[in-house]
Amino acid sequence: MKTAVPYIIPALLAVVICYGGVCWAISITATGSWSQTIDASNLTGGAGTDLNSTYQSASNAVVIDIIGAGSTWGVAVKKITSNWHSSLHLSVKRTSDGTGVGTISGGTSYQEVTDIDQSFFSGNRSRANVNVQFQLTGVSIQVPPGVYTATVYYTVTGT
Amino acid sequence: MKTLTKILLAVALVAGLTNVAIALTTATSTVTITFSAIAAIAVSGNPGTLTIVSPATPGDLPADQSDTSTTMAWTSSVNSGKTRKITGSIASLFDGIDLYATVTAGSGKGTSAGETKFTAAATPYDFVTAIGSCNTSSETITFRAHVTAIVAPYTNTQKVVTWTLTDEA
Repeated sequence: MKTAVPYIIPALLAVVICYGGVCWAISITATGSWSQTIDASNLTGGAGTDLNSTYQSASNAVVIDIIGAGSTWGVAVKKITSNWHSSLHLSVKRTSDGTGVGTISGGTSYQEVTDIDQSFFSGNRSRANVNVQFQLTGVSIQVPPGVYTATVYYTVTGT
Repeated sequence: MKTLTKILLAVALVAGLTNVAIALTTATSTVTITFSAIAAIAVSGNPGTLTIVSPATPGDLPADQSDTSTTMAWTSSVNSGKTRKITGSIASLFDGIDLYATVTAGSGKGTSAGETKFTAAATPYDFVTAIGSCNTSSETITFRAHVTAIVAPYTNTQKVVTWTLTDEA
């Protein structure tokens, strides 16, 4: 019994701290992606015309869940690209409030996703099933054929 | 008591791992845009009838006849360093007439080869070369019929000219 005592208190503290950590930690998950193929069917008026310049994903291309019980948070967004073309501009907006006990605001208008974190939307406590939509602008026949990829990062931080 | 301690430590460990596992502050999604190569070409329609009339001066061959009523449109996207060209071929030749054609190319739309004769049937001839990524909707096509010999008159004889936008070697 005596030899066990030194372990009991740290163990209890560890449980409390860890559960405390879970209770107050903020986490984010994103599910989904967007793939868009642009070909001759996207010419504005057949041969001789240019491509439509703007494309949109489904309104729920990505679904974000945020767990942030008891805390306020903000979500920033940025992209890291590979084989991107300088004339292409990727934007993002939030198309639903999702569900949950918390609140959510901002991000309902398209904003360009750049290579550095920019504020997207904010809220408190937990929100699930927050839908996100993408928009691509700047498309023209001058963009060479190929595959262009952007990894979009959503970073949640406590505020 | 030792058992209780082990249980608590195990709970703490699991809770700690759970904490680590779910406390993700960054999530990602992927956007993939695929641009397919585009090679689209169209003409506005058929040219007017080229009617060969008697020469003004007896002994001469009939004068050339031309038509500029049709236009060509094309849209092309190519990778860097690649170009395309527009070829034309005629299904069969006219008796006693050489048919020539010219396709204009505006600035940045390629290089016109100028007037080119359909020398042989079913043979592609270059009319515009060095076409990069561009689009143009109204390049003029000029057809010119040149009489080379007096032959028996014929009417409403149609020949099909096929235009192709294709990769340059």
